[in-house]
Amino acid sequence: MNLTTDIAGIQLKNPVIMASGTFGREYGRFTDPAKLGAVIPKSVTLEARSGNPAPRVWETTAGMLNSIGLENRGVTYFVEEELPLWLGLGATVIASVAGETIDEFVRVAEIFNDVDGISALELNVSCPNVDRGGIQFGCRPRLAADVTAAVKSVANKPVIVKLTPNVTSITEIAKAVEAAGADAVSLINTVLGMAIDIAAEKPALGRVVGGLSGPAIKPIALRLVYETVGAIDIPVIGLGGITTPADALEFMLAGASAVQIGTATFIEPKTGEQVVAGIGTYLREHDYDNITQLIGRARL
Amino acid sequence: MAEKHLTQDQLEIISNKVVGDGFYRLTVRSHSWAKSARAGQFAHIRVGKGLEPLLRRPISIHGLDDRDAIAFLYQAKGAGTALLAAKRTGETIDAIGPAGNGFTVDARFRRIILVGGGIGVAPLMFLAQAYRAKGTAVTVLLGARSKDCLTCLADFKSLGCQVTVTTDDGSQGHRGYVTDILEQHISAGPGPVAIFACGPTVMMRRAATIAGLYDVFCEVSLEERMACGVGACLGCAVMTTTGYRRVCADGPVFSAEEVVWTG
Repeated sequence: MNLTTDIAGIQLKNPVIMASGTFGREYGRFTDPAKLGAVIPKSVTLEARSGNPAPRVWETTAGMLNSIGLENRGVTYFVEEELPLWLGLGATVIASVAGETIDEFVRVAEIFNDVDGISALELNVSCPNVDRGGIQFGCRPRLAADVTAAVKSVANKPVIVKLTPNVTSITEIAKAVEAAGADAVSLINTVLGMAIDIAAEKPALGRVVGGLSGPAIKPIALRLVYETVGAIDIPVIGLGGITTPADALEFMLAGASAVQIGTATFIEPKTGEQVVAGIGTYLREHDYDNITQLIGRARL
Repeated sequence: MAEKHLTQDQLEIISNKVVGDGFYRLTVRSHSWAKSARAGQFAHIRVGKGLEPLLRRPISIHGLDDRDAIAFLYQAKGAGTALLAAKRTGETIDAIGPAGNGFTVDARFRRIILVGGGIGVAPLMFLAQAYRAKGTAVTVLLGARSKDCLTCLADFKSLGCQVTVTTDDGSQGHRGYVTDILEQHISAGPGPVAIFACGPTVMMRRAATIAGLYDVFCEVSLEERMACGVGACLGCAVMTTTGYRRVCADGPVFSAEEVVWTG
């Protein structure tokens, strides 16, 4: 049985990718990153960023809110210290790139041109937790296209654009980045939300609003993936609340070429491996010999 | 470092009993945890089997019962800890740990003062065990409501600790805040002395201020809302003099001098 998946010109050993911001190298001690399709470490900016004030996370019904704020140590640290650890663990690495300006995206992409071991770039134009950069690029078709085209013009690797659900029409954004040369899109980033701490009588998150993730958002994500698959011709990577193999199968039957696992890892560090195994079991039991036979089969 | 022992295990429950008003003492069997755990570390426990509540709960290691058994102390105050409280002997818990850095245990201190408030007493018992094993004099100042962990008092005393209790309502021991009596205990004996505090932020902040005034070594165990518990998500960041640091992986124990207090 063949779980091999082609996305944006790169071949993955299976369609299960660990989502940016949720899968740190710490998880290498609980699960084997080499068994996963790919790992997307936390978004990297040109310089280090310190992130948002506490509290940054808040549990909600079947989900959680976060407002981390793209905290990271910058591209140089990532290339010199973090990437070698992932490669040492046998992981296929897709680098998530974030920036406050188009120029910042371009400069990080240029630095990655000279780095071995990065299979593709994922442009995070959808982070809801920063004042500049992030979501405002992903909310306007023109800006999303501009950042995509700018990165594509310099990058020597496939470019995946990660989309936000916090827009009126995600398909417009998807079409715009496809026209600008994106090799694939991934969706969805977190859904904007908030909570009130009634004991303190104030917003639960230090930054007031944050991004909702976890099982609670799966139906929202699935609908957006289904519609986006119907609107564009480049591959769609589906994510949002995937916790079980069945969840992953829903996204693939809806047309996603691969899936990402995020928040579920916090609950069960082996979720990625379990989803790989569960997809394999499903294919065997339903007499498929290739994962690609499954993609989009539920589409009407 | 502590991280090298971090594992995910199914730990068998030996007992899980009420030991005070809403306080539970959970003991589990694990030779590897008992061998590697250090005072101040915690377990990140999956309290339910399903997805509600979603996240694991960080629970302080309370001490070693013997070479194959470790104890946790927790307060059942929400849906997650209520599920934990419903677990019975013979069941297992899914735990990641021992997580976090742990308190400093250093024989150069002649006396240590443990300052605990409410459920903050949980990791201090383990620390008392560690220091008493080195023969260090241990003073315990416990701020409590009237009916909090009563068995903790007996446990501290049986370790040979000198225990003083304060209660908000004066129903037991000294009436007032535990930090009211900290200063007199700092000057009450020989040095070098060290202070270790765990409890409400206002209590730890006050203890840190007093430690600063007397130029005494002081560590605090911080609490913050936590998601992954292993250092991956950066959700439990707290501000320090060197920038944001993770309670779960860089802490939960921090030098009182490096904490930037906001509460």
